[in-house]
Amino acid sequence: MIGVSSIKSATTVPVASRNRRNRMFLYTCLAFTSVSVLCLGVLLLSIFLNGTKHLFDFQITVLPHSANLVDSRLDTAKRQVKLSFVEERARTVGIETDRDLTGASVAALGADLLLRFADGSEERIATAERLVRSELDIEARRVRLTYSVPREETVGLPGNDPLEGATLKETPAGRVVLSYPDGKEQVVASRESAAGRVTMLGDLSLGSVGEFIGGSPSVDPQKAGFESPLVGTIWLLCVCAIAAVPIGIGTAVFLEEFKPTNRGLIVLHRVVATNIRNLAGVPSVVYGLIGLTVFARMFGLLGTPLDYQSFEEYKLSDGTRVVGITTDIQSDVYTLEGPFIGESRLERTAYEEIARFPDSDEVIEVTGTVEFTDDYEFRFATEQIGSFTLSPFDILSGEMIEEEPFAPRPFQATFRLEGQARYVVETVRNGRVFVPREMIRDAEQDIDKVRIRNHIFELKDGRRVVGKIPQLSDGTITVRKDLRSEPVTFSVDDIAERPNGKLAYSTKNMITILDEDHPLHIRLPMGASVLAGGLTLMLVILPVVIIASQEALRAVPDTLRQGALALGASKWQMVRTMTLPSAIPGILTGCILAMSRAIGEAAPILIIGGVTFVTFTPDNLMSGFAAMPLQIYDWLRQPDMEFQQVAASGIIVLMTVLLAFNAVAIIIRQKLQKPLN
Amino acid sequence: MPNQPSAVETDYRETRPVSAGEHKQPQKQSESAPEAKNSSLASVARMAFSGRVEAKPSATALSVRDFSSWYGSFQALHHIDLEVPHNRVTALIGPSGCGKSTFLRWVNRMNDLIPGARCAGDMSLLGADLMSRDIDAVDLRRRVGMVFQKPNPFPKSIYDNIAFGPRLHYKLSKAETDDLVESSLRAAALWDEVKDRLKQSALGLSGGQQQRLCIARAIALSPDVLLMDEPCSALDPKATIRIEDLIVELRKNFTILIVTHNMQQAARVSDQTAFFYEGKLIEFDDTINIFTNPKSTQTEDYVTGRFG
Amino acid sequence: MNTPSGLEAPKLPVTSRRTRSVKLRKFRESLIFSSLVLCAAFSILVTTSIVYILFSESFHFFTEFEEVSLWGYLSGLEWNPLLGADKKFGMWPLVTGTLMVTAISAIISLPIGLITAVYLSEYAPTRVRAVLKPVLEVLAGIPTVVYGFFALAVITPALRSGSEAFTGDKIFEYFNSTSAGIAVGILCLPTVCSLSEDALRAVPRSLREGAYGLGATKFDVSVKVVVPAALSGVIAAFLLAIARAIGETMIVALAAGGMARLATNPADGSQTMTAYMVQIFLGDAPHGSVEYYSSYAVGATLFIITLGLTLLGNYILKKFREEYE
Repeated sequence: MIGVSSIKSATTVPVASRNRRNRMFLYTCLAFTSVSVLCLGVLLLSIFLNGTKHLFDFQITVLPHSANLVDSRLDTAKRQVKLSFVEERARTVGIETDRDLTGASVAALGADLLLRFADGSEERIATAERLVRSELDIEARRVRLTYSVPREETVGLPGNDPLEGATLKETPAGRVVLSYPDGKEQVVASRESAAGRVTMLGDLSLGSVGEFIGGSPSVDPQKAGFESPLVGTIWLLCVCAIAAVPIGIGTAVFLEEFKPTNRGLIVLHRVVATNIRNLAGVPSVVYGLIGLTVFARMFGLLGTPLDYQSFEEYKLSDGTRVVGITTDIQSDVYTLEGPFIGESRLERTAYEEIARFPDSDEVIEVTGTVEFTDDYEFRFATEQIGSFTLSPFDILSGEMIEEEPFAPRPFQATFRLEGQARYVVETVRNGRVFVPREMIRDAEQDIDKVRIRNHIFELKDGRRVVGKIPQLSDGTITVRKDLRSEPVTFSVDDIAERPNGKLAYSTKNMITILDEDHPLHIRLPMGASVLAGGLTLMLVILPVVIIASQEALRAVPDTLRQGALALGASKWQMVRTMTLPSAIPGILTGCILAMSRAIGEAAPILIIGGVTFVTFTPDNLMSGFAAMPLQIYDWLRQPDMEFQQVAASGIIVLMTVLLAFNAVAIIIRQKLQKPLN
Repeated sequence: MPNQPSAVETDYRETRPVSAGEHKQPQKQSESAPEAKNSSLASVARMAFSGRVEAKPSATALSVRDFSSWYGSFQALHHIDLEVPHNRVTALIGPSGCGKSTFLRWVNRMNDLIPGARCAGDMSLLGADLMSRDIDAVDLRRRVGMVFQKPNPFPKSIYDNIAFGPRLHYKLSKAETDDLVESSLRAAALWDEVKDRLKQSALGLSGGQQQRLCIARAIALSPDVLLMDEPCSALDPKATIRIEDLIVELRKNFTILIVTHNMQQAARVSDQTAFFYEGKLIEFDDTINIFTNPKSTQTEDYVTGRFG
Repeated sequence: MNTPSGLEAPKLPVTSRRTRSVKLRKFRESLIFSSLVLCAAFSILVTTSIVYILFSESFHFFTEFEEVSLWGYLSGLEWNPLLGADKKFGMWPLVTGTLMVTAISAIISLPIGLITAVYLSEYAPTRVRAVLKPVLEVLAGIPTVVYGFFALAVITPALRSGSEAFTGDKIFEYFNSTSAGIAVGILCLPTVCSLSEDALRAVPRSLREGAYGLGATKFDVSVKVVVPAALSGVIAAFLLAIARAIGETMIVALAAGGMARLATNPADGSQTMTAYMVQIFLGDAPHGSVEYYSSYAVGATLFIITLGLTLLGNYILKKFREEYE
């Protein structure tokens, strides 16, 4: 007897239990496998739900800042609210006459606006009907006229709630609120505040999809748009593809087709092959660092990008000019004073919850209730300015009432505006300038870019002074190295002389290729530009392109190659005529998939210096840029939950683009590979 | 080199009883050409047979009636009738693609793994109908072992390879497993070569050793029938001979059904031979008859090497 | 000239022009070949620059600033580069942050990925495969910011409300490593699955048949024969997936938070090496400052870790492939 039959005491494992174990394992596998499918489903669902909520959100009817509500009427039958208001509109009129305007003034007489000259004569320049105010600019020879214009807006009411017994009222902060009989309140219209905030609810408007894609990012969730990130990403992709594809295919051809014969090349071959695989595993942040050092900063050999930064010029509504770099955008700051909160600071960024914060300097007495939430915040509900939250860290001088639990209690305090929203601009001459945001709004269209050069002086005492925008006065020169350093002053006599008799002065010009107006304008160092970003992305996807091309080349049957070689073709001729054409579909697919990876990379872009508050699309290779994944990241970073919805809308756009790419890749794979069979 | 000792021929006629087993065969009678009788194969068959221990009349181990099978719409086997005797070596020969491997794989239901494979007819092992739904393929394979064309030891130790099968079906103590491994390896004539390296990987063995390992692995389960699918085709001649010797030895304890395209092998090791051609069983007879005195022209053509 | 069959051999024109064009062609060939070599050499250039930049800037970091020392970096348990006076530069908070997130992601991706791979290669009927493979491909192609969104919008609230429902207490902070770890795990799942599946499929059919022949069930075959046979390939898959998890940036930057501290509690936030690097460049660190250079040092650490894992994983994979070829 051979085998188990020789073992008398052997007990069998019943087949039924083995089959049962097999089945249990199958179910376990199915369960684990369906986790993946489930995750994908939940992910897509959450994106869709969040994203479309924003895209199809109710849009409020916004009344201009200067609007004064005259009347509001509720039409229950048509479910509409008719708003009559008066809006202030301004326009600028040039003075046509050539006469001297010294000592002139404007005055209204009846229905005409007259320009009174110094000698007493008058000329009519505009109508004075509904004129609110006029400002004469003698130097510029024009008059700015503000009129009050009556307007009517009709707001459709969403939902099906019965409107009988509902009332309209206007709040001191300039909102029109519809109060339903069951107590529910709905904001129908809101006056646009100085900082440009808009609140929710109102009409359903499908137009918001187009607006989202066509709009620009803003600090306001409602106004956030996606155009510049979308275009920026496309620019980046083009640069990246043009750089990565040739190098990638070339490397792949080298690795697959030109098998080395001599010793040196064999080593190179092996090194490159292992190298590619390792490069594929490098995290993208590291590539970001490399791109920053090599492309953006160029090792600092050509100066820092800051030296070549484009300054911006703001023309303000009061006529002043500010030239500098916008370094910060600040928000409104409020001071709250009251029992137990002492003096507290409240910052209202655009991401705050709805609260009817005042935007004037008036002090408001607020009364209401306060409670301590689970999120470790104080939540105030007031009658005057709505609800808001205050973190314990914002309470500067009050006494913390340590009471658990902190029951809701009545509360009263004063509330006033301390600091207003503004742009912080670093200028060369005046240092830091604060520009109120509302003053820029008009002039945002007139931004000039001033090119700055670095000037290099070698002085007799051996110093080497490098600086910008030299100011000359009385034989002394003042330059500043950059915005944060002290100015250096020296006299013209201090400048050394070169052997050829000329002054030791030169300008470190940026290396410039092509003019600034040309889309392919290149300037070194590249700084945070589209070119630098694209080249960094090239680094990220290069290994992917190489590996995909290698696979495509390997898939070409050897018979094809040998056929060409047997006919006397040289290596390269064989590759060019036989191998590459048949591998093109595979290579193309690989490249497209590599680029779809590049679309989603946010980390390297961030490190290079892609900006998230960019409202323009790139004009040339050297422009700053926004990118879709970076914008999405920035939105998600915001504490305001509403930005998650905006981010989800962005994700929908991003995924649609990705889907398009993948679809193209699949189609290519199917269509172009048929002839091979 | 084979001579033609007529003495052997005489012995054969006197001592060898015709083994049991009805077999149908197509009535293609042909004269036994002198070519077949005197071929080298014939002498090999005679020589091989003369060296064997006489066997008792044996029962039928595997009974096949009117068995046909298909892969999808392609019919691989046509109405096979066969009785495989117990404790004998039965060879299946024929040109490539004639269905012999397919047939073999139905015996242990390995074709269940191939989608689109189906069969009709009866096949019963020791009385149990293999094609009925009550038969669990997993348990069937405990009783029908298989050795494959290319040695396929698991990338485990030699010990674990042998113990793998028994551990699936039985609860054994360590001592029992040790004994089992040793006895199986001895029976496969491999023990002496590997007894000092049982825990080393089986992949370190030579081709022939690996195949013997696979045989040991299969017989560890004490199968009723041992199926062998061209077990020596991937081995060198020296290893082949050792395995052929082993097969003849194993015949004492196991019923062996061996597929081979090597006719000399069939002549050397088998008691009975079935000749398959294009999915049909052409002739089934004692090996000596198939090679010296085939009844069908097709058989004769094949064994004399005219085709295949 | 008469050939054996009696036909005349065709006269091939041999002109001097053809000889010259051969030279030209050879020259062009060598030119093309050189440009291909340059392309290949470019990738070597990339690696050299990575190494050079990371290490030279890190060297700068360790030698030029007095608050920083190599030993302090390697052994320090506090990382506070942004505090005004008292800056601390020990790497362990960041490293443990990375390890914590990676560990959680491994718990998710490795088992699920492997078992899904087993299912796909051993069990799944063609129709299921046709559905499942695209699903996994889609999961693999989703950008990481989207996973970050998923972590913030779905996972974190689920964890917080779920833990509240079960224990009545909000265990998870808004920024926590678990949420990020789960998202990273789902991110790496398709990688683990496809690499493991490749390894499992590389196991030759003959091994499976041998096991079936011995009366093994599919479970026996998969778990006792195929997976052990493919083990080194599977381990390589694990290593490569872990390397990817370590290098992940956006998810952890969004969901795990920015507080660099020794990560001991998965329900708390932590900062990973990658998130720190991003934070520096988001913020106001002026060029040339110690914070700016610290990101290079962290980058070098990150690079060393991922390179080690990638090298090891590729090496094991190569050995595995050789076994089955």
